[in-house]
Amino acid sequence: MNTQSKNILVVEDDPLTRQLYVNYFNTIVPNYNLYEAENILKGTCLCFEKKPELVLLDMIMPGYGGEFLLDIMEEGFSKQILSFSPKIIVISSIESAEELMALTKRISVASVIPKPLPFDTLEELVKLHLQTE
Amino acid sequence: MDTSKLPRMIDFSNAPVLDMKKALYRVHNKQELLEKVILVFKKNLLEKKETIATELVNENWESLKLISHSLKGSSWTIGAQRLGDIAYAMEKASASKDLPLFNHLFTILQNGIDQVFNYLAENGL
Amino acid sequence: MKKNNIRFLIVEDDEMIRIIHKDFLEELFPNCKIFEAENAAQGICLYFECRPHLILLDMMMPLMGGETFLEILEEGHRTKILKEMPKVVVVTAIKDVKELMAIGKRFAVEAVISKPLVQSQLKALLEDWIS
Repeated sequence: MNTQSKNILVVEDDPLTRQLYVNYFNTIVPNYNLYEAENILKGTCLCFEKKPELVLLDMIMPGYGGEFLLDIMEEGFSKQILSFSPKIIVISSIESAEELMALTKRISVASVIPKPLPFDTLEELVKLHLQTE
Repeated sequence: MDTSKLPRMIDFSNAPVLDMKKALYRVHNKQELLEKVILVFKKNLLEKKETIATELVNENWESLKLISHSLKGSSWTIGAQRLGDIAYAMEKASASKDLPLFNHLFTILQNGIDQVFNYLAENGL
Repeated sequence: MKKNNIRFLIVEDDEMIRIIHKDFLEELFPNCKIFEAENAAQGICLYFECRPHLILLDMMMPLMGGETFLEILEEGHRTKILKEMPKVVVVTAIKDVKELMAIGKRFAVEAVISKPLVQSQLKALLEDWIS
């Protein structure tokens, strides 16, 4: 059981949207440190450096998408390499039931939420996930 | 299908089953390391053979290409030139999704694997 | 890099080659620690968790290749998230000269060696860097 890092990571390429998420988290969980990444490569580096308890991850980004981080985390879990285990909430436009099922089945994914973000639901989710740490 | 155009084992027979000199060079002439590596090579050959058979049923060409590529690499690494050449042909056949050719080469590969095992057994490995 | 505390990471999908590289390193540096990854995804996890001083990196691997591993190191360095400078030795079956030259120019890549890696090559490279 790892010590709580009190860190949250937001991975979102659109700067306005990202700022919206960061402000939102600052409001609902002000005792947490917020980190942000505009692309998945930086997001991956930050994830490993800061070992966040929670990651809000946009799936669709230019270059590598959100599945890049999910693939890495799952390889890490499967080989028992990781010293931390963040709750990853993925943001997906969910085009189809198949896509939703595929995402929710991934062991690295804690929850899937749609775009546009339902903030009330997100608040409940975040508090639930942080409580179970 | 014109079977006379399909390759045969004899087409690969210019290459040695296993070049022991090459194999020893790879492991810096360390006999113990060679034995360890050969053990892993044999285990991987059998595993890959099974996986190819399964993936072939589903015609999973991406997977077949990856396995053939991997088989090629590890065979050439250890000096099993003939097997590596067959795997290379399989890699190309899977890239072009040529089922009859791939099937045919797979049969040749299985003979090739037997040849490698026999050669190793004769040399105490 | 100090001989007694040195940490290596081998990122290579071929198990036989991992065994050979590991043996070579253990003989050259008996007190070293060696971590092994089958692909770049595992390599990235192990890099961050174990902070190796030197990485032997294959380029062509299933799931995630060496290119991706280098991209992560580059981005980490560019954004100043990664403070340390690892050394990467690429060991590859790639034959195309232009490709090899491009790899050689990448961040943290100190050398590009064609497979198969020979122990004496490794020794020559490493004894310059490791006291």
